[in-house]
Amino acid sequence: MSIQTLKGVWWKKVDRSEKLWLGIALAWCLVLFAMMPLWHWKGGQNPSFETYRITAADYQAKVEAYVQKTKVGEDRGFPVVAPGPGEDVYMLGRLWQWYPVVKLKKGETYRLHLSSLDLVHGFSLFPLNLNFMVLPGYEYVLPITPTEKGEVYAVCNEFCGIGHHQMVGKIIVE
Amino acid sequence: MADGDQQGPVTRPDAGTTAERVPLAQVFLDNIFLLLVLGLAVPIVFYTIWGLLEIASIPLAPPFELPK
Amino acid sequence: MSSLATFRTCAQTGLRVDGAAERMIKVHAVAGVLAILFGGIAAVLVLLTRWPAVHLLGPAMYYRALTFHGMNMLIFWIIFFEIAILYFAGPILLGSRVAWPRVGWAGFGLMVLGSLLIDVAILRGGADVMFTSYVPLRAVSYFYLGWILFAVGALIGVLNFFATLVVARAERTYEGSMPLVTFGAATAAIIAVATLAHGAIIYIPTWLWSLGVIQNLDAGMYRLVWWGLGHPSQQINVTAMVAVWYLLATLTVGASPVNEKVCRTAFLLYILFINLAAAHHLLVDPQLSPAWKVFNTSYGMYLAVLASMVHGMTVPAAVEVAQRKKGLSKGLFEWLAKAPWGNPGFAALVLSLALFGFMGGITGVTFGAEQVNIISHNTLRIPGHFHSTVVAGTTLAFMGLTYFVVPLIFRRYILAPKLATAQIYLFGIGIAIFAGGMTTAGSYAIPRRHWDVQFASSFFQPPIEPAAFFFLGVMGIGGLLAGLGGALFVAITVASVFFGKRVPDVPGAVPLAAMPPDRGQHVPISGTLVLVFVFLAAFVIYYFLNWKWLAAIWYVR
Repeated sequence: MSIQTLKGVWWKKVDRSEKLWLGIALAWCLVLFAMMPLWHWKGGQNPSFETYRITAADYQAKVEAYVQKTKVGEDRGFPVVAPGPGEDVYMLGRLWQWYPVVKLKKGETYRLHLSSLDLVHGFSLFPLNLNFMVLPGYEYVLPITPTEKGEVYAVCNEFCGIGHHQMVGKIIVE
Repeated sequence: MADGDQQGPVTRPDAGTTAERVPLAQVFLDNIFLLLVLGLAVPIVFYTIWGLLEIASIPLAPPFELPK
Repeated sequence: MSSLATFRTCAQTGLRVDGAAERMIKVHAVAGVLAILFGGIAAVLVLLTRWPAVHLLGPAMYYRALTFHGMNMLIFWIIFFEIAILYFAGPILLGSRVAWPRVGWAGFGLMVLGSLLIDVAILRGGADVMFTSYVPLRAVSYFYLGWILFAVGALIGVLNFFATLVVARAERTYEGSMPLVTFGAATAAIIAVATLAHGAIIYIPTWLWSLGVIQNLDAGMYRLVWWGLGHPSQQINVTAMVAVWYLLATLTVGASPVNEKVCRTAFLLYILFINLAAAHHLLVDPQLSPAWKVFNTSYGMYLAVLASMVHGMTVPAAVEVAQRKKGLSKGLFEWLAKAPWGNPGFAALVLSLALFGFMGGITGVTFGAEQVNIISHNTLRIPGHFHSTVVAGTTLAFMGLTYFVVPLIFRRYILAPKLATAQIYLFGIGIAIFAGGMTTAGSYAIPRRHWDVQFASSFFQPPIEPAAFFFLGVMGIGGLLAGLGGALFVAITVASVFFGKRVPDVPGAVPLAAMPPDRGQHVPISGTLVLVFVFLAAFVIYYFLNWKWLAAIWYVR
């Protein structure tokens, strides 16, 4: 039994029915593994690896300069920026807001830059359900293409202190 | 469940004859300390060291250019 | 160190038991049960806050209670219990003395001290940082010191286990290969060393940073190394749970592994590959490449998942063979229908196996695919998954085992055996409903670790699907059932240890299953094969559904 010591040889042939399951389970595991490179090759959603090191101060300066240049309006006190197709757009997370509000066009691709000025934040586009991590000291570039018109909200889903649940930003897709 | 008069761990009597040569695979699996070394080496190399090397190689952000 | 070990021979099992091993099991089990009590109270408070209809605690207390809940459950309850398992699977199953009894006490003492430092830091408001304590979130220094002391204490317990293996071999207390349960425990111990090594590598600098000795700790590096502690700490749980499955199968139906080669090779796959998947916490992080992510999250081409699928077959197969050998061989499932469902150990075995596999394993592998993580990370899908593994899987199995620990080690009968059985079902079914509700709510993007899902005080108010509220309610009801089940567990075990009738020192006083008669016949495992294929079908369907859902969101490429 499972609590008995084993004398002699226990490395023995495997029964046919066990072999059957082992073979099928192994095949399924290889399918599981293959899906990931396959999706990188053919699929539409893959975590990017365009990342740079940057200080909080430098990133903040970038975002402010960008907002100054591309601001088209305001929403609840936040500047609204509207990048052109294929362009870079910059958002930052800080305690406890996402800045600025961004206006995009459906079907166009943009290079969304994300970084945090202070703690680790979670960038979660609600209710799509698109989730990425935003770290201080790292500028993450995500090539995104909105596929539906409407408003989505950037909810922070990584605990960042007492105001964490207030941290919501906005992206408008026209 | 076991013989009350037998002391110590209960040994299964029919787990193969002791005269057989023990397969290398069984000797390998019986060597807990070798398994400990492998169990530390594999994750430390593939998860930790590889990961730290990648983090250390993240480039600096290029000079910022405003859109036209 | 001490050659003056005092042994008793267990009248129930014939095992030669070192008093030092029994003492270690007792104190660690008691500490574990205290931790589950504290963690359980926090659980109910957190639950009643996340259930929007109730929204019990204010924000600060919610984040504090959540940190407290995570630490007490994921670390204290489960690691104290696992060290107890090591003191059983090493010295007792091998009939050996504990290698270093006094050192064992030092290890226990450090674990207690470390857990007290952490709990006090949290309760005093100095450590609202969650179980993960992601830098640059900062707690009081003695919080990090508590982690270091706890980890060192646990490591001492683990090293005592390895030293005992050496002593047992040297003193020839057993012949041949160690039992499967000991081998499973050794696998858990190996994973524990990897866990605790990463704990030291991350908490020593973090503690120094909290003291101002180190100026900056990189957030990306912290997450990588921390999860080298955080995830393997949970894989100790998986491995210990599987070892406990084999143990419960033996104790409740007299089952033996059908093929030791298969079971032990599966444990080997855990040893080599299971820790790699700590990467699944970092799949949507900026600082690591797709190559690193894909290789590591796959546990090395899913070989550790293969191991779990193997155990998911060999454990029921062992039960089926044992039952069929007793004559319960009619049709596909008489062996299962006529199994001892009224035995809390058997109920725990089956529920733990089924819930871990169907709910925990399937969601875990699915959300752990690099790209599917995009629609999962940090939503309630994640805690929905891990409550299915750590709670419905590991904790439920440990609860079933406790109902043997009390009569065999504490030598007291369980006070209300029918209530003990009901407790297992209540907890298991409650957690299943809870996790189902939580995971489904998460697929509506409801965030985890979040005080206000209605975003009442935010600049912008996202509209929430009514269905999400429904599933949060389901989560609430399941959680209350589980909370009741957990409270019963603590009540029954504590009451039995203090007031249960003493178990007399005669064979058969504690009902343990006998090994079934073996006439060398070939016994089919057809019922098990049906069950595992049903599992595989569920897996395939859920897995591909998720890729379909992924394809429906924005492009990121």
